[in-house]
Amino acid sequence: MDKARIGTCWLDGCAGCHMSLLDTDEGIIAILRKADIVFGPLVDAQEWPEGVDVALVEGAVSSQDDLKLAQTVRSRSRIVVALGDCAVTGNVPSMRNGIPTRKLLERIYVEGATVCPGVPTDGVPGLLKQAEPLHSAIKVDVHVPGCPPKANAILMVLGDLLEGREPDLGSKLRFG
Amino acid sequence: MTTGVVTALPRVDDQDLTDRIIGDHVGRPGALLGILEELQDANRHKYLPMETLEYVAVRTGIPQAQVYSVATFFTLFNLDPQGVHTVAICRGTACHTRGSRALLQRVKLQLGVGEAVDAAGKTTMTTADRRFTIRTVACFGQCALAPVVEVDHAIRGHVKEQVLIREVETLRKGGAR
Amino acid sequence: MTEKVKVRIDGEVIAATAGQTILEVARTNNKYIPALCYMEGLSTVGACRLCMVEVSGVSRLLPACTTPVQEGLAVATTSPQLESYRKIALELLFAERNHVCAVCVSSGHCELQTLAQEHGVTSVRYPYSYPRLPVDMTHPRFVLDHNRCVLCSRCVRTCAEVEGAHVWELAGRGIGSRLVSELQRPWGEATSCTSCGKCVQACPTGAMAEKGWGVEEMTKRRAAVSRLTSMREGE
Repeated sequence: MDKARIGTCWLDGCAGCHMSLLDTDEGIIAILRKADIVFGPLVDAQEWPEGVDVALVEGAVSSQDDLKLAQTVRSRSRIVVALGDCAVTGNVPSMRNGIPTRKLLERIYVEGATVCPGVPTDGVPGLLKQAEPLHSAIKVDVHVPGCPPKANAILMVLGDLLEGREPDLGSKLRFG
Repeated sequence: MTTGVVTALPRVDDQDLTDRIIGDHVGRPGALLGILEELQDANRHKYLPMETLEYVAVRTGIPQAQVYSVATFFTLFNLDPQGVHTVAICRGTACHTRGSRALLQRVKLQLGVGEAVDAAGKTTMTTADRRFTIRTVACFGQCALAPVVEVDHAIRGHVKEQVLIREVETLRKGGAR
Repeated sequence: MTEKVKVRIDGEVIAATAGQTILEVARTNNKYIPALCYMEGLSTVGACRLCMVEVSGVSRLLPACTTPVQEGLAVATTSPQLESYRKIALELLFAERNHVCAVCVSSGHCELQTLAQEHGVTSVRYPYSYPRLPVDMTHPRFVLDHNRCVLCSRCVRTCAEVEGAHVWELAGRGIGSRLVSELQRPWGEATSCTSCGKCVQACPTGAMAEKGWGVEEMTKRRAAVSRLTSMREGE
């Protein structure tokens, strides 16, 4: 039987959800018997590949790059999982949403700068007006909230998806 | 206990009149609404200054927060000074589909006022010279006449942009002398 | 005179006293009906709409916290329709303000968070409104964060009915509604506030909290407020 393909990525997040994924300890070995991780911070691949079965997306959609990656992930993956509170609700990145982008950037890069004040434009993606949950940008199949989601919740969801079951977090459902 | 601490009476413009209005209503159920309505009407700029709200609270024994709650819940009450003339534009569904947003924008341009939302979340705009107040209304209940605009308490139906502008212009010139 | 009545809750016949609400009868008989704005010992307002139940013979849903029981009343506390409505109500509460559990003092002890988890709310289907709201830090001991307020008015009622100070009210209307102290004065300047802190204990979320706690550290003693009123009933 062909192994399933898992991809992971993070948008506007803190990598905490990926840390939680690593916290699955030996549990990940059972997952890797059934699937390969074909994209993610732990993998060399430079571009999100075609034919991904399960995509774990951490972080809110906050910049042009986030949006582009989210769209690529969607078009090349069968099941998209919003992993963690940032992807599910916007969480901490969305706390800027009441402030106009311009003001926000100036506050940090001009008023807040001790050296070289100025809003950077080269080589950084443009900020979107608001940091939004993943499902406001693309269709999301499974939501796994938590900040971060507990390792056993991630394991359970991955296990279910690889077995072809619809995951039900039940008592493992947790915000924050 | 209705008032937490005995507070010194705040100063209001016309204490005798205020006391009389409060005296006329106090003790009856729903007295607060009547008191606030009459006080606003008696005010030169048709609004309820904070001092007045506090005065009412102290005199009636109604908690300040409750007085404020009532004054901000009903769109009838103004917490800011109002213009001499009032243009109230209906933003209900029927009026919206018949172009009330354009009417609102046009009058705002004409009188040179920006968007403003008061403490109670109500859209009211008053010109700097306090000659005009523009406000929005959720519905006048005259949807068959959409778009509906109320100018100085007179309801106008099927309002066209040009007609409204002319009417406002007449009021503006009228007071300029 | 207390008239005894028999009601059915989820099929089980239960003896109750006329005048009791459906929610009271359910809770005293270990039948669970979710609620957010209800708190034992306070008057009821029916604001949160989470306790909506089906009453046989009534075509619309009724809030259990404000509906008194009558002889022969038959109530269903849960159904697929009720569950879907409760989820909608919870999601709308999240969409209305900025509830960021990850950085909230009440995370793990929050009634809104718990209800969402119990009802399987995994995400919010409605666009968040991201309002820009202030945090009132003016009181020396307490803090009010409007971002986390669900307008349940438990603080309002606790202050008015238990403490008797009536510092709080809900001002404005609709989406613009805000909790205010006195004439929208900063909390620290509200002269009628006795600083008793009962409003803080009654608050179901992290909207009101004691200063000095970190994330997940603020636990509330709601029962203490309820107990005060139950002890007064004998007087």
